[in-house]
Amino acid sequence: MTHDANPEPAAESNGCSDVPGTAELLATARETLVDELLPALSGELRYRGLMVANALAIAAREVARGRDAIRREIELLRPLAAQAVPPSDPGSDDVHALRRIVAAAIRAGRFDDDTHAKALLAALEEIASLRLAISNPKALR
Amino acid sequence: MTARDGARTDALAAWLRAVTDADDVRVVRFERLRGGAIQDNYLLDVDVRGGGWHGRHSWVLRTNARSRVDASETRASEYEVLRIAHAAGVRAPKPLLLCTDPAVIGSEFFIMERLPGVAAGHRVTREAALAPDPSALAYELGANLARIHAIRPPPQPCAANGKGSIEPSRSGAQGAHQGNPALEAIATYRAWLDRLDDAYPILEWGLRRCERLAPATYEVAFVHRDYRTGNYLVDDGRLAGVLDWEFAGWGDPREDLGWFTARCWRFAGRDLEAGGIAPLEPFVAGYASVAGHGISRTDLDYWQTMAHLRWAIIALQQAQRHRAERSLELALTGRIVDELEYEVLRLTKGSA
Repeated sequence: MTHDANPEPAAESNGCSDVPGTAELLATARETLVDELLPALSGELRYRGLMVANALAIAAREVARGRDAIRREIELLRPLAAQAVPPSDPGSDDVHALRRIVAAAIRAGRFDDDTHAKALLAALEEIASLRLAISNPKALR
Repeated sequence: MTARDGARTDALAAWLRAVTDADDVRVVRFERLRGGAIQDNYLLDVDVRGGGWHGRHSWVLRTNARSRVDASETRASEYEVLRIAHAAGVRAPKPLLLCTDPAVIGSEFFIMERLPGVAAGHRVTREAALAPDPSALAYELGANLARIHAIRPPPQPCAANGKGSIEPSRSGAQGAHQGNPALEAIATYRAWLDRLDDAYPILEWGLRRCERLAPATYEVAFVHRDYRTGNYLVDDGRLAGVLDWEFAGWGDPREDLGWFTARCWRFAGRDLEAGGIAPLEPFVAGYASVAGHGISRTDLDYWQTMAHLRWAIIALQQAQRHRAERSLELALTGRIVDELEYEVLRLTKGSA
């Protein structure tokens, strides 16, 4: 089992630079689980321990990169949403609202033609890669 | 064993004694099995004294878990499905007894024979000793799937002719696309998406692509809808039986072929298209040996896309359930959606 490297500085903390932040706590908790607890577990308990290790790894990556991923998703969705509901720019920073607008437009066929589809696909691919880099980077191809 | 478990076991023994017309039924073992996110399975060993069932039996009891996913069927219809499949020569556990009275153990249930073997996907795709000849196993799985698809709807599939009829299993959105199973499925998946809190542009993109590329010609057959590695038992390298019939109903048989071969169900065997155990060819050859035909690459890509879409939406439903019943497994299932969406984009890229 590989340890999840944690090169980025802690994105979240209790505000005190002398104590470990969220990312460091998660990484240390995971190391303890993987190095000290998992070897003592077998069968069903080991399986559950591996699930906990996976959850901690996802949480650590999300603390490090989750905010940037959502910010980038908003940047990518905003022009698509503006296309979908012209002429007004929704100008929203609410990622859920942007997703709703773009999703409804796709369903209504507004991205069917090649030009629109290409722009949409490029944005969706970047969003998918950013998210997969957090939830399961091994699956990135 | 808690007092509640003890009361359930007593109630079960009393019910079994009545339905098997026995002098006495002793429950030797009644243990919950791991695995079902939607259904609960129990190992059930009983000693029956007297009557037509006299002797020692090793069974599996299947009942509802605390909450259900939209796509899932009732135990009574799953029992009926299993009966029909078994009668058609499909390798599956033989259904034995059905109890629709929720009062007995707290929910309706049925009892089926217990087949030997290993089902766990991560083991079947990793431990070579379980399937020394993976191509032969893939061939059997293909042939077995074609036997399911050989079951065809009666002339009036929804006719209320009592025990012989199987209701179509998809709820809602019926009739709008009368006939074309791909379009019916897409309408159903959209209805499921609409019941979630958030919106999903990537899944919408995949659904729209599949809507526009929906096959113009199709057949309607009996489909399993969860025929994949992890849901069949491998015993001594051979296919012992297919499990988990809760989603079965009428549909396009290619749906099952896409589901079985989709990357998301290959476990440790990522590049082995036949369920992570073997290349595609022996699986399709086995299928064709019974069905008389295989499947085109275009059709397989289409139904693999549909498989990822369906699994993504069901995974989202399961993640939502995590709020009501905290479970790390359900919570993590929500996080596999990212990988499924990534695959949807990869599969639909060429069609843009």
